[in-house]
Amino acid sequence: MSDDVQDLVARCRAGDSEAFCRLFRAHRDEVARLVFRMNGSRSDLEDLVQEVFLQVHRSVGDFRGDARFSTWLYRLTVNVVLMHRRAAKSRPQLVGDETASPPRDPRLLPDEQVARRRRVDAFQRIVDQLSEKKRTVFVLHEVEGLSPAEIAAIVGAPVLTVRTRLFYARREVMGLLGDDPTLSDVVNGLESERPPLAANARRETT
Amino acid sequence: MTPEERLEKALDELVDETKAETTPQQIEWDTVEATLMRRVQGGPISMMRERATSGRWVAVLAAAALVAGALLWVHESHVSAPVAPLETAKLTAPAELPHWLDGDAIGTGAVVASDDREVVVEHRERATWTLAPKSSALVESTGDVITVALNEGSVSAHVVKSPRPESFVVRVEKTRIAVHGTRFRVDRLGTTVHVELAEGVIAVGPVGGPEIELFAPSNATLSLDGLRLDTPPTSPRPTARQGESSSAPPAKDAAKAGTAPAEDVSPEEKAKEDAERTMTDGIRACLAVSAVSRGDLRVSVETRMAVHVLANGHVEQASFAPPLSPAVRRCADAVLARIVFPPSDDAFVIEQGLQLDH
Repeated sequence: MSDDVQDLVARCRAGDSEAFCRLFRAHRDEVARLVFRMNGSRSDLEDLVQEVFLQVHRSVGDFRGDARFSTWLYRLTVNVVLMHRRAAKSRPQLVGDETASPPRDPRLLPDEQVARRRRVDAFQRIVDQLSEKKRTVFVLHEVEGLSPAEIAAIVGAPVLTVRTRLFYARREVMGLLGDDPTLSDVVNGLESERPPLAANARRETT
Repeated sequence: MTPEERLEKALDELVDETKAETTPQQIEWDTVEATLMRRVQGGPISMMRERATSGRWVAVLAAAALVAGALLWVHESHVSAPVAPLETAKLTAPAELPHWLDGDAIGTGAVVASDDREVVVEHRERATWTLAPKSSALVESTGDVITVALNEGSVSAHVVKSPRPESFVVRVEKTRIAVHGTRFRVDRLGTTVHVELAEGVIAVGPVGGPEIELFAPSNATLSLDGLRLDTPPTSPRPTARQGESSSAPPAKDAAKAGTAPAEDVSPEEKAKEDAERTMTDGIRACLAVSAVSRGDLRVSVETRMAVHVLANGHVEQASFAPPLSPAVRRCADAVLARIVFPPSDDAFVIEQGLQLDH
């Protein structure tokens, strides 16, 4: 049985549950990663991944293969997360509901791990302040590493618009960096106080 | 560093940290899958799926228990803090055979380690990778793209051709080697990475950065940050050795030097090569720090350097054409001031082309 995506998609469209299951297993990690990065929260992660694949199941008949499956899947994932965040705005917010810890990086010492966690949390709070459109392209480009053309296909906007949003998103984030008490230390102490992450990792592994 | 540059650098560093940090926590995939299938298809089918999955996992766990009982091995040197549970597997096998692991049964986050024998990991119809003895690797992903982070030692792989842009990735720190159908080997050698390509095409470069394509048969040496340290053999730019041969004093036995294998290099020549490599790496690092990398905008820095070295081994002067920016030149001068070549009978000049795409 071939695991080729096109084949799996075709079989999913024909109602083959085994193929859908294989599709889920093949893409669940990347969907979970994107959901997590887009949502900026560990709560609801599993529910959102399920929701994405429910959408895949419902919409796979609409996937005509014009775009790459991964692009289509990213589009679905982004939409699910955005819908979730919009809905969450109208609900009371829970503070400190991060019940699960992220995996620890064995290359870092415990205090470095904690410090990095604080920086990443602070950085995510800043990214969260961006508008929905800017945050989407910022995460997809800077964190996920997608090109503007790929993002354009995902968000349904011209490439030039994506580039513009990226430019302003990046500028806005840079403007907020210095104002955050946690991250201003990063900015001010960049050259002297803290070794870069790569240096930490290298120190341990070499 | 201007305030703007500092912000740019801070942002890049935070993005890197975010990438490293935001791997989702351990997810109960079996539970998610079972619930999803129930929601998609209703009770009876999803329960069948659940039972089948459970049965499969019982088998996997039973096998894993046998495996773990036989050879469970924790990388203490890599566990400087309590870490999330990772599968660490070593398998028994007859003495003459390598250990074998079913790659499709290995989850993300598993650490595969070898003892005195190779460990062969097979992902059916996709890729087979082999850990050399005394090596270890972390399985970072097993989805569309199989990603293996080489912690120590060597890994070689045979990847089945696929229509995907890439299907197998080896990461060594911040160096990334991506392939979609090829046969290659990656060695982690202290602070460098050596890549040897036997078949096909691979892309090498820094994680999240620009990549260089290598065509078989070829090899490359990279830093742990993904910067290429050696000079591509097909490059039209003169290599350091070419530059030396044109301007350095005659070697004691030039004809022999021209044909001798690498292991015949004298200690003096070796020391000179080491100093030259240190110098080149340092200047490349200066270029890398200065190179602009914003979004999909890539800036290529290219220059030709001529370094005049006195007989006592110290650098007398250096020139770059085209000239370097003041900041990079200061950095390069600091590198050159620290370099000492082994003393020689006469002064000599090293000429070399340097290029960095960032």
